[in-house]
Amino acid sequence: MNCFQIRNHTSDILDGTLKPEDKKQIETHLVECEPCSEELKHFRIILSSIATSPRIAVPQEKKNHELLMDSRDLRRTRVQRLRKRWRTLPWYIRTTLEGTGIVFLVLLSISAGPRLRMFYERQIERNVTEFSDTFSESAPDGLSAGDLPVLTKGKTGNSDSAGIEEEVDGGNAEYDGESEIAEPQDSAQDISVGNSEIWRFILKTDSPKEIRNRIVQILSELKISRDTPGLGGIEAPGGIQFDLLVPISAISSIKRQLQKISAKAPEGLTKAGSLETFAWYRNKSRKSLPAGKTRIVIWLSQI
Amino acid sequence: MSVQKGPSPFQIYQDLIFDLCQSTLNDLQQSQQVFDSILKTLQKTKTSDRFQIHERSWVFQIACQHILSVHEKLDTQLSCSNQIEMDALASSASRLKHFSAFFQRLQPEDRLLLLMREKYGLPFSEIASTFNLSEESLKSRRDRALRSLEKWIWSNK
Repeated sequence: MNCFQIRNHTSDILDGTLKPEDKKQIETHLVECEPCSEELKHFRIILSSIATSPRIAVPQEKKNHELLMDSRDLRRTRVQRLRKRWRTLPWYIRTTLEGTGIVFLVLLSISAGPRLRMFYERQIERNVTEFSDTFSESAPDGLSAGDLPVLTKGKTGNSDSAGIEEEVDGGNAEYDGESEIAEPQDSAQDISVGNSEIWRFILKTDSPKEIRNRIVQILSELKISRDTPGLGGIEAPGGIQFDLLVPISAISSIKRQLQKISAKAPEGLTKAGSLETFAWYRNKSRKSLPAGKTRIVIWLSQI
Repeated sequence: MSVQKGPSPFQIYQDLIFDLCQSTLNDLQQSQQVFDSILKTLQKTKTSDRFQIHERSWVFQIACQHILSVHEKLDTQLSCSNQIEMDALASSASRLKHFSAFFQRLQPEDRLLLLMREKYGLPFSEIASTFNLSEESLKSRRDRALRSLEKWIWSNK
């Protein structure tokens, strides 16, 4: 091996990564060739000088620099710094800023209140509209105002209810004489319908005509024939009355639907305990009714 | 199961980076400025999972880029008169005492290479990825730098 070849292997010689077959030849050459061995010795001195040169550590003030902190320490340091700066501000500036902040928050909450209320009212309105739309859409035969049976003005005997006589006066229906009068029942209880019964429903509403239309729709949905006498209702002083014969099976549905559409009482009246908008009673009819049928009397009175 | 967050890269390598800056630039003020800029870059750059393995070479890559960009604007060389004075020293032993001055004569890339290889013990594969060069190129570069230093100190040519 010659000096030129030794030069090509300098890096491997210094790193000690020579191949075994080259190592022997190189060692032999180095023993014989002084310039090469001298050069390698100088290289080793240079490398050791570099390796042993003193290491300069990061100055202490740099170690406290926020760039060298982790995020949690950094946040803490920044918060502490802000607090310190806040305390160094003159008292009148701090007071002014704090006062301004409080006033701003109060104004914000005052201005937000009506908006929230408006939003809440709109929500309710939307729900009510949806409910009304759903209810009006559910009329199976697409009953519109024009399709509703005519509301007759009634007095005694004008009812078309077959064979049934009843006086309609200022809003109180007459009960059949010695019949049993059932106590008004809790609407949550299940009802059982017997034969030859009269079911009375009393609804108090501020718009009897509107409720009347809904009742007609309810009855139509329950497949009660449009030709049924009394389906259209009778207008009387103080309200509107329905008096008709319906299948026994329809009673519970009618009751449920009427409960739904009965209006909520105004707050003041409810508190006084004097107004319920929905009530129902059951009586035994003196006169026999057709099999499978029962009589319902719905009274819509004006609040 | 929560993962414990270890120290960030610049917390692990801060001393190495600072020493690299100072040894290469040989100016404390400049070294501190470069150090700050390197840390800012490391902080801004989001480390993805792959840097968990090659984190050190990524850190050194950023450090070398900053050092080289600053070095272009700096004049770290000795003045001509100082260089003549150094060369005029009688013995190699006395010249060896001023080794750092001769070291500053090297190209900044050569200085970085020698420091990373000899002082910090980085393998050639890692230095190659830092400089984006092959290992053979790095080895021949190191040889060239060593020969230059040897010539200045011992041969006085």
